Amino acid sequence: MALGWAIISTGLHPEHKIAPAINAAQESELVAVYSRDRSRAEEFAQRHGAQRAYDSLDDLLKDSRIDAIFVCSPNALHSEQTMQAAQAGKHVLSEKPMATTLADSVAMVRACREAGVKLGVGFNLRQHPGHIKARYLIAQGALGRVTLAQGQWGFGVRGQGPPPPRTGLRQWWDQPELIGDASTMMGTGVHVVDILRFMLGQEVTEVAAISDGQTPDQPLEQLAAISLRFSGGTIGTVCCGRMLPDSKNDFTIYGTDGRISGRSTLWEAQQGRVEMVSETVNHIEVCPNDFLGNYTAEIEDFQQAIESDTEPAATGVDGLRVVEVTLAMIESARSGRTVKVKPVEI
Amino acid sequence: MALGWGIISTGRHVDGRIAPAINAAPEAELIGIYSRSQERAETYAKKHNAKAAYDQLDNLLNDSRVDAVFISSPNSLHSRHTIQSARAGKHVLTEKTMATNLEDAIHMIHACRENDVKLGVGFHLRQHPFHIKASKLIAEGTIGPIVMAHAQLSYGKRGQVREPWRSGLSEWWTEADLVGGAFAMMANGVHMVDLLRFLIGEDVVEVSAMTDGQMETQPLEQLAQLSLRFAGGAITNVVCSRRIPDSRNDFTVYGVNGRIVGTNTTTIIPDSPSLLEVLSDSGDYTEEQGVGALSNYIAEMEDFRQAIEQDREPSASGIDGLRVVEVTQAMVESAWNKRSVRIDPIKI
Repeated sequence: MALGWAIISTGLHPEHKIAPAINAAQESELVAVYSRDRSRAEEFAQRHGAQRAYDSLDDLLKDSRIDAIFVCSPNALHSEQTMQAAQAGKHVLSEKPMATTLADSVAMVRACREAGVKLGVGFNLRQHPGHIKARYLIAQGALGRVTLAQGQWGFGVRGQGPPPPRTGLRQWWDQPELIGDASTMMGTGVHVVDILRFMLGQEVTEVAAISDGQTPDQPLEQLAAISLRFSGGTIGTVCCGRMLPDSKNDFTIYGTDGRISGRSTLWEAQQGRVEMVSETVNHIEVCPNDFLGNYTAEIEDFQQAIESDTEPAATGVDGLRVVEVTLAMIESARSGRTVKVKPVEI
Repeated sequence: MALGWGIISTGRHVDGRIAPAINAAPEAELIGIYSRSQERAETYAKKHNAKAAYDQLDNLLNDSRVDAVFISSPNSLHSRHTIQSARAGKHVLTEKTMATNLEDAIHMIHACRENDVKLGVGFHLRQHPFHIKASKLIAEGTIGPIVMAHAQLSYGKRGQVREPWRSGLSEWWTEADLVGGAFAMMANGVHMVDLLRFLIGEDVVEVSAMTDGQMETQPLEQLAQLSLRFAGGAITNVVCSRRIPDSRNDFTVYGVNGRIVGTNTTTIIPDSPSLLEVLSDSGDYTEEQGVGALSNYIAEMEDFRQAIEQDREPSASGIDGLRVVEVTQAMVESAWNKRSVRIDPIKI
């Protein structure tokens, strides 16, 4: 039987990616959408073929056809909505970043455990076949001792410089409390942090960040470079920015026996190529452009996790670990100090 | 008239690059080689067709045919050798890193100024045609104000977790005092810091470093990742290491109107052609060029000769050397103390 989905929020992200992906995924059905504003919910439902539109989250959560919720609201709201959904017995796939505070993240993990529902986080880059291959080869030891891992995701508009403030319903992106005290680090940086964790199979233990924000005059940054130390000794770098119109959104992982590099794979669409150069494996994998590819796979992976009672590709604990790193990034950018990450035991 | 060169030290760098580059440069003549060991000096002099071999620095400096000296001794000796040469009226081109502390670097600049001789530092990557071109395009505003940049220069040997520490006459590289408190940074990183300064045309104002060294159990690093903030606000990364056999020794500079990428340009051992890629509103293009193993060094010698002849600063001046020493000190401090370090450039 198809899994029934509901989406919380009617922003650009659900509009262009999440609703189409649910509709494209196997064995899934878009049942309902929630917005504070009924007419927005109805218009969205109509555009995407959802059966119902709600302006009350409580009412949506009582809809028996809904098995799972995709939370796409402003970052600071993920936690409360996740817990509400979990208590109503719905599985939750939350957009990244999972939450803006550690306490919220921990509460989300606990609430879903207690309610016996799955919790996943929208790190859809884990669905890219090139990233999955890289993770596999690294785990096999094809790179030897992994020394350095680099990833960048930036974007921008030529000639624009710092992007203009967002308007209307998207204003929360420019409000420190709602987005979580960071801009580009929250937007794309967290994706890069998670995909390096995923490919390396290591946790971040130390963070040093340098940004053009995190000051009283400019609380939100548009540009950041972050150095990460991983549990296995690998040193990582993450770069992100909203004024990088010609950003090469690539990753490279170097080991003492070779390297794996991805070209243009760190992006919304499933695309790019991954090249492996080493003693044992020398291979190029080209990934045809598929705009919804990573999102559709994410939806199907989550459904599979429910069906087989396993963990989704990116779990609540993955989300929590990235929140820990993100908070360390913000603290480091503010204070100039290298910040140790102490993983919460959960 | 050809410029007469003396070389201080007989290490691998001199043997493989500097002496051959002087011999290949137009209007340059290799006059004398100095080593503590007369035998080594003579062996090298013979091999590289130098006219004289000296085991006393004073004797080299008293040779009237020597106009300029190239200093390739251990890092901590550059200062003493430079000052002695300047006092003898010889122009000085010192290998990077210029000095292992700020005081030494400042003394070098003063000594050369007082004796009215040129002081240059061996940042030969400034001679790569694509670096010169990129620096020109950036200065002309082709890609707009610079926001981000990366530069990487690393080596390694497959299967080797770290480079074996050097022994014999190269052992100074393993002694923190002689090399200057850093290893990969001193060997490779300083080149990348200078290259970004050259490309962006600004100075570094803040340094944040993460390394596999700068701790009690391993004082010298073999892998360093540096984030540098430039005066105009650009945020940049430098990677230098001896643990990356398949390193891509490239640079990338991002502006708000485009980007410039140099592929295989930052290496000091060119083994395949360099590529330059420019994306901007003025049009996109790529260019390929083979660069010989000695080209940058030969160009460096010729640039220094012209600087003397035209009484101008060489491509990388003593001040450039000092600025990189400032960054290096900040890098070592940042890695040890685990905090970013602001740089207040010394006025000189």
